[in-house]
Amino acid sequence: MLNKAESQASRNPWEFWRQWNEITVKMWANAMNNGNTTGTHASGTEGSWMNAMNTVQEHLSNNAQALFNPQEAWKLWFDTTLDICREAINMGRDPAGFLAAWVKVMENIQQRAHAGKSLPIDPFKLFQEWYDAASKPWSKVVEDSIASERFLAFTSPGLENYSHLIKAFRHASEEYLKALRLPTLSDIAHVAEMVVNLEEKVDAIEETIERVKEQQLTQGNATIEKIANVERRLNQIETRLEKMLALLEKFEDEPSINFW
Amino acid sequence: MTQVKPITHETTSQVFDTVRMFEKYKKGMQILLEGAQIQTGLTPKEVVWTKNKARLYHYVPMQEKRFPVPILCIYALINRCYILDLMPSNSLVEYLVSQGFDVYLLDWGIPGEEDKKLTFEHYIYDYIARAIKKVLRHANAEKCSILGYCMGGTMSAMYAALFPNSELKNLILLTTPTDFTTEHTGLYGIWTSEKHFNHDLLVDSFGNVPGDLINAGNLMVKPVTNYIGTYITMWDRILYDRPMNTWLAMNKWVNDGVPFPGEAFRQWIRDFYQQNKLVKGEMSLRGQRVDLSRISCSVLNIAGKRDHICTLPQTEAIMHLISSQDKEFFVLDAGHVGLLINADAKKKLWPKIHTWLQARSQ
Repeated sequence: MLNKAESQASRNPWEFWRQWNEITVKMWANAMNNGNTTGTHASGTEGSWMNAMNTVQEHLSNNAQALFNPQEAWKLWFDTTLDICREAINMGRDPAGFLAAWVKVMENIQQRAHAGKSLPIDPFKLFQEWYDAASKPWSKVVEDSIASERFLAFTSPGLENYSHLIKAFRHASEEYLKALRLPTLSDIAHVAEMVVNLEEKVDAIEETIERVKEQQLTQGNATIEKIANVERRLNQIETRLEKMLALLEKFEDEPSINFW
Repeated sequence: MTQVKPITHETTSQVFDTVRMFEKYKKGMQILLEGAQIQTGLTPKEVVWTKNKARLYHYVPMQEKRFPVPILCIYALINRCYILDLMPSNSLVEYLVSQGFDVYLLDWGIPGEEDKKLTFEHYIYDYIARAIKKVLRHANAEKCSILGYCMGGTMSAMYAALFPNSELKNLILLTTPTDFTTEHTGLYGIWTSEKHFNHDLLVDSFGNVPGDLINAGNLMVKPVTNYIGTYITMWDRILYDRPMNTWLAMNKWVNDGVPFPGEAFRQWIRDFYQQNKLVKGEMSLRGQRVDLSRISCSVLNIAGKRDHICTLPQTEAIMHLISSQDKEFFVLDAGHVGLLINADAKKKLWPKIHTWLQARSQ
C-alpha cells in the first residue's frame, strides 16, 4: 500500500495525501467503529478526529488547487478549521465553550476579511483576540477544577510529600554541617534570636526611661506651678506687710490716728 | 550586473521598525526573566522606631500639619507594605500627606529564620501597641487613627478590642477579613480546610512559610488572569507603546512575597480559616479574650464588591459585632488591590478616607 502511494506521490502530493487519509481513516474505523468511517457512532476523541479528517478530505477534494496558492491555502485552512469546530460544537463536544469562543474569533476575522478591513496578521493581536474571547469560559473551567475535591485529593498529598522531603532534607543538612563543625542556619538563627531579645530589653529600658521622663515632666510642671503659687502668695503677703508698715509709720508720725 | 535596490525612506523606516520591534521584544523578555524593575515607596519618610525587622516610618510633611490626630497605617504579613505608597501619583500615603495628615507606616520587614516563633500575640502586644505609643510621642498627640489593610486590619481590630480605652480615636479597615465562615471564604476556605491542608506539617517543615508558596496560592485563585492575562497586558503595553509604570509597580509588588512567620501562619490557618474563632469570640491572645464588642471608637469599614480574596460577607461581619456608635460600611465596585490603586481609587476611595478622617481628626 505504501509503495503504491509513493509511486503516485512523486507525481502528485495531493494524491499522496488523499490515499494516506483514506487508509488511515479506514484503519481507525476498523479498529474502533466497526468499519464506519463517518464517526457518527464513535465516541469521544476518535469520533471527533474522524469527523475532522472527513471534513478536511471534503474541503481538499473540492479545492485541491488551493494548496499551491498561499492565499488560497490560508483561506482553505480557515474554512476547514471553522467547519471542524462547528461540527464539534453541534455534536456536543464543547462543554466548556472553548471551541465556541474560537469560532467567534475566527468569524470575526472572516467578517473583517470580507469587509476589506485589515486582518490581525500580528500573531500577538490574534492571540489577544482569542484570549479576550476565550478567557472567561477557560477561567471558569480552571477555577471549577481547582475547587474540586479531585484536585485537592491530588495536590494535598503532593504538598505533604514535598513538606516531608523538605523536612528530611533540612534535618540531613543540619546534621551534615554539624558533623563538619560548620555553622548551620539554626546556629545563625539562634544568635539572631539572642540579638532580638537583647534589642527587646534595650527597647524596654528605653520605654521605662521615656515613661519616667514623662512622669518627671508632669511632676516637674506641677512643682513649678506650686512654686509659682507660693511665690504669688508671698508677693501678696509682702504687699500687705508693706501697707501695714506704711500705716505704722504714719501712726508714729501722727499718733492721733485711730487704727481701731 | 545585479541592480541594487535604492535605499528609500520606506526601506529606512522598515529597518527602524524592525529595530524597534526587537527592542520591545528585549524589554518584554527582560521583565519576564529579571522581574519588574521599578522604584516604589518613594514618598519621603524617616525611621522613628525599629524593632527586630519592623520599621516605623514617619512621612515627611509636605505642608503644615492640619490635623493633630496622626494616622498609623498597618499592612498584612503577606507581601510588602509599599502597596500603600506604590508610586508617585498612585499612593494613598502621598495623598494623605498632601492633605495635611500626619502619616506613619509600620513596615513588618522581611522575617528571618529567627522569627518563625512570632505569633499574633507578639505582633499586637509587642509591635502594634508599642508603635502606637511611639507615634503619639513623636506626633505629640493624645490619640491616633489606625488604617489597617487586609490582615493588618484584622490585627488592628484585635488591638482595638484588646485595648478599648487606649489612645485609638478612629479605626479604618480596608478589605479586612473578620469572618472566616467557609461559605464566605471562597477558594481559600476550600484549600485550607482541615481535611486537605496539613498546616502543622508545613510549618514544622519550613519554619517560615516561603513567600513563593504564599504567592502561588494567591495567584492560583485566578490562575488564567494572573498567569496569562497579566502578561498579555504587559505585551500589549510594550508593543503598542502604552504606559508601563503602573503595570511594573504592581507586578513587582505581586511577586515580592515575604516569608510568613511559622507560628503566626499556624494561627492564621487554624484559628481563623479553620475554626473562625474571632467572630465567635473564642480568640484569646496572652490570656485575654478578643471581644470585638469592646471596640467603641469611630469605624470606617471599606470593602470591594469584586474582591475574591476577602469577600463582602467576610468584611461586613464586624459591623454587627462592634459597639461603636459612629460606624460606616463603605463598598466600592473594585477588587482587593484595585480598590486601593486603580483609577477609581483616586476619585472614590481616597476622597472618602480624607473626608471621613477630616471630620474626626481635630
